[in-house]
Amino acid sequence: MFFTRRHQAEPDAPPLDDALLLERAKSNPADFALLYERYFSRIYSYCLRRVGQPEEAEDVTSLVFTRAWAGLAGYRGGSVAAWFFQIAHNAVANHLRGRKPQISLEVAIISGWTDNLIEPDDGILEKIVQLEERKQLAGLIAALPPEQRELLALSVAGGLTAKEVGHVLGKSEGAVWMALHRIVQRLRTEYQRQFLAEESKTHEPPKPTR
Amino acid sequence: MSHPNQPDEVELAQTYFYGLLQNPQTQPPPGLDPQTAETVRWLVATEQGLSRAAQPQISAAQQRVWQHIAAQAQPAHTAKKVAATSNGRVKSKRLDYFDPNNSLKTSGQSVRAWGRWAVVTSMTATVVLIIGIIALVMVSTRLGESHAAATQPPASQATPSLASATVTKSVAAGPGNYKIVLQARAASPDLKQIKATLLILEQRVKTAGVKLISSTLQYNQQIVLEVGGVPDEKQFVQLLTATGRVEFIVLNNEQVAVGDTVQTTYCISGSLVQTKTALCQSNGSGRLNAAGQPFQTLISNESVDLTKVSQSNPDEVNNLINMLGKIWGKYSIANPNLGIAVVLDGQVKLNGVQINSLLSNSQQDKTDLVSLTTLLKYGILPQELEVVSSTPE
Repeated sequence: MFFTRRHQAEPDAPPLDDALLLERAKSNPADFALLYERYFSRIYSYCLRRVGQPEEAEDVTSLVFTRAWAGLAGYRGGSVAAWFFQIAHNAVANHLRGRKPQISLEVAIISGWTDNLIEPDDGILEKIVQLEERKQLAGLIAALPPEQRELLALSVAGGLTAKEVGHVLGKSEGAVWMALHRIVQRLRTEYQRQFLAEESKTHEPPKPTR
Repeated sequence: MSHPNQPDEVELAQTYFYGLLQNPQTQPPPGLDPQTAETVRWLVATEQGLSRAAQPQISAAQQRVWQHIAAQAQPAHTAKKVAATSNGRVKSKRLDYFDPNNSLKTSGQSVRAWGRWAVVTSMTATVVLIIGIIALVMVSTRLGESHAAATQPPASQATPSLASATVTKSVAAGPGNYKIVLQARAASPDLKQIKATLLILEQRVKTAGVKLISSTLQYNQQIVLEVGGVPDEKQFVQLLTATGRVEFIVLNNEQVAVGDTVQTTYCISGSLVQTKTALCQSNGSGRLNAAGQPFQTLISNESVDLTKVSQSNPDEVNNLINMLGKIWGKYSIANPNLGIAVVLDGQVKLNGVQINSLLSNSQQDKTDLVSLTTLLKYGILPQELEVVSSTPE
């Protein structure tokens, strides 16, 4: 059996602090497995969001954890999440630079063939109902500049705080807040523009805007 | 248009943004512009939807990635089992701290080992290269044997297009345990399709009520499944290798018979909710509709995850029926009395289901539909597989 979850052998052990685990992993590789368990989902989700294809996301995620393992000695304290995502950010950036053009997840959603990837806990009907609206919204997000999409992926798929995102991107926490606000304002404007365009197509009076 | 104080709005928006990440039910903070709040809400919801993979997919991916990482740590003589990455970009450093069985050592080896590791890297690389060449020769030999064996009529062949697995009783095992080796039919199979096939096979194993002990990709073209509790080996191999594309098609006012082979739009223009995919392979034969055109596909099992649909889950059954009605109502002329048929691999399995009657709670139609939706659980195989032999011990 290949896959061994070490934490299963210690079900009653109290959870250890990530930084402590990482320090311990330097001399006790078994502790790295615990970090893997804790961070896999977030790292994989982030990679999937950025590269769009599950197979590629697995490859990049594998690279992230392998690099993290090899670079344990380079950890100098601070947020373990930010440390992992710094590695992931670089791995994804390298991957995107080097690969051939492929269909993005947004386009896949719009075309409908990745329905089974979204909202897995919802019923089938809900997926279909959400699809139409999500097509439009996903299209707006897909049109954002790469650095803004990266910020969103780190925040949402990666689950990082503004401070951790700032650490990964080399910005201050405040700068991340402002960047996030600019994203919101841009999306709001674009959404209203599209909404008004659709309204004018149907010759109906537009809804009042603020 | 109001112009709230910019710093305050930034703070309020980010508070709402991170609040929604923690709890989707979070209410916008007082003072936040309603339209900004609405934008933040749908931004988070949409981004989360785009980011989130289904839990079974994450679990399977977690296992595969761990295997890959652990395999990187294996000694060179076992590393030949590791599949290359799909893009060839993952060139990870070999890790000595993992044992060959992929469980983690707890011997407390020190970080100082990295220095020694760096010194012997060049020597190790040479050894790995030599062993890799030997492994390549062994793989080629095995493949040759596999193709030779494939000339024998496979006992468990499920469909003409899919043909091969080596089935052996697991050494470590209990009743019904098997190690099954599936071989890609193509000479140079696409690794991404092989990986996608592995995902589907894992799903099939789970939905069959069989325990998946391990799943491994090797030599870039073989899938090795270790399973437990298989009640009927032949039936199980059939399940693994079945093509399994199921479509709901529009009949209009025509009649088709159960067992008829029909042509559908799925591999031509796609379904009503999904354009044609690259993986689709049309059979190119079968009857057409009265207008001489392929029957319109409403939706297929490539488009939606129907794994929850079963007799014991009436909510999901109703969701499925509502979905069909919704698609039909949206994309067609408003005539809900027109029938649909359910087609498996181009062959009609259920004829003349009336969406209208489904919506009006016709229990018999629902039962028929549900019994067929169990077929939907299995998905199609992106990569054709060949059965080399079936030799239970």
